[in-house]
Amino acid sequence: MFRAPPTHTLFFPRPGICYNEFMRPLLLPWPRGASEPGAPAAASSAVALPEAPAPAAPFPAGLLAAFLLSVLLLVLWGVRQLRTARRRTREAEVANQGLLDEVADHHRTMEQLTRHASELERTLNSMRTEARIVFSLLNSIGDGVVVTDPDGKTLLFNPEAERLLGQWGGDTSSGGWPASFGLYRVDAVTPFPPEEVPFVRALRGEEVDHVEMFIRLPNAGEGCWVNAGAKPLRDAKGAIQGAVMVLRDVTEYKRAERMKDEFVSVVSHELRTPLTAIKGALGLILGGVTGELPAQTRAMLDVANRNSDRLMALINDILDIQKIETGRMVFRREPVDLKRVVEQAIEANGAYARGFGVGIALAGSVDGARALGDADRLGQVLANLLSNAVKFSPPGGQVEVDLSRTAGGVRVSVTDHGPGIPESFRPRVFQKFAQADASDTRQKGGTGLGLSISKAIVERMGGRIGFESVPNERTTFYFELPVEDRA
Amino acid sequence: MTSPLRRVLAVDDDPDILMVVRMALENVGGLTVACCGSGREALGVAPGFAPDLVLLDVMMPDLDGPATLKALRGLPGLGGVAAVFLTAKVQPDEVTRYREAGIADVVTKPFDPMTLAATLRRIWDRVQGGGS
Repeated sequence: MFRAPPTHTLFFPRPGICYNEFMRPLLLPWPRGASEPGAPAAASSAVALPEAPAPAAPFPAGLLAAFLLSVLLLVLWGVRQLRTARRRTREAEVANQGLLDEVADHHRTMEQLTRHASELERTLNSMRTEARIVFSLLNSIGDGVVVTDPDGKTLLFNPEAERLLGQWGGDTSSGGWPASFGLYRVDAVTPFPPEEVPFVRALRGEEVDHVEMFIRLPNAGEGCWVNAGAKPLRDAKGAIQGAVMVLRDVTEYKRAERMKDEFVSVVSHELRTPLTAIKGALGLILGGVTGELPAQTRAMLDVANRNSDRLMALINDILDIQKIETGRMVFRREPVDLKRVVEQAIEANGAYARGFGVGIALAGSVDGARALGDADRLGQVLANLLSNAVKFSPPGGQVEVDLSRTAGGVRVSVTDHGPGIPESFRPRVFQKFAQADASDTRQKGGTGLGLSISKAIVERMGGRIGFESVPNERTTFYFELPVEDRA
Repeated sequence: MTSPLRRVLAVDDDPDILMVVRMALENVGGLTVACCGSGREALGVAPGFAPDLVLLDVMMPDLDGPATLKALRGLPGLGGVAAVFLTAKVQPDEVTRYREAGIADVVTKPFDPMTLAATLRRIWDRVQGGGS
């Protein structure tokens, strides 16, 4: 049963509760005796309601319609308000979700930043450790290390560099190094050119190795020799950002080397002196100055003379090797008529070849070919090549000398028709004291130094030396030199 | 007008070499030779011997070759005596140093005794002819 509420009650979803137009719940007393729809009348007495008033006089129809219309309007207005509220709620929810997402983003960003900060901290710690290691190394290594900026201003001097150079070089300009630090060439006399200081060269882009310098500090004692190298420091794009120079103290090595040189020089001289007397005496006897010699005596004296020659050659070769290795072999630099040098060498070694029953012939020649070099040293090279060719030629054999043009130079070759060079020995042909067979030195009489000396001499003159060998057919040793042609 | 080489004063601290030199110059070369075992001995012998040419070892104790030559040239009548060094030390820088001492030439040890006299005559003739 439906009845008009005392207020603007709209509907009754269950006994005792109704909602007004604002959807606010409103406790509404249930009429006595009334039963909830579908419930037994006896069970509907949860709340005791006041006595129902006496029926009122019926409403006029117009008033009722107006009332109903008002109610309808109110319902419609309420629905609209409800929808608006829901829409706003949704909008607020959407807006809140954006904020929540934003907060979540910030949270994630914070987490990432925290993670990055941790990584950065670890990286920094790692870098600090590495830096400590590098500095420990720089402080403990026996080499001096100098680092400069692109202008040559010193950025780093490790303790060994400071010891070698005697002072921190922070304020020294690159051009002022030789004067400030007392840099000299290896002879300890010639001032070192500023533009050739290794790190200055490195700043020009060069990679410098094994430059020997002498350092004599102003107001200091003996000084020291250093072996220096330098490299440019480049950024990722290859631009030079500075240079690093490493200095190694080689003073002790130099002193030992000098002692060795003096020893070799003295020993060689002391060996030459008795050999001079032996050779002189043998020469006079064999020359008949002391009278005629019985054949057997002469044969024995020839043995003594030959071996004193061999000993002298060995001493000379050792001295030559020593001079080459210490850079003290002096080379003249003048135009050399190669044809003339070859002809002289053939003539000079002719007697030696005849002693082996071997001939030397000039197979080909080039007129007017001139090389820039030292004629005596080239004669020495040819003597080495010819004596080798003669020694390894069969008796009655022929050694051929050929002078020919090459692209940009001239080649001098000496060919013999001996056994050839074993494959296994070829890589060692130009090594010191190298002999294909250990007994060769005794059998052939060589020192094992001739080819090593020849290689050094040819290379000092800007040329190259090589060989070609066909077993039991021929062996050709050759050297090529750049030619100085005269118009 | 050049006079031939006749008298040679040989100075060397090695008696064996000195003997070879004497035989090479006297027996092979037909020269008159005076031999001295030291520079100081040479300073005593030289004024009386009046050599045309002095053949000097370079490395000698007490007075070495250059010092002996300098002292010899300080003696009366020996101011212009020709000198040749006989040495095993013939590096280019060493030869340059010898020449600065005023020598005519250098003969390298070991030398050929059969041609030593001829070598000295050639040097002597060059010096007499005003060559260097």
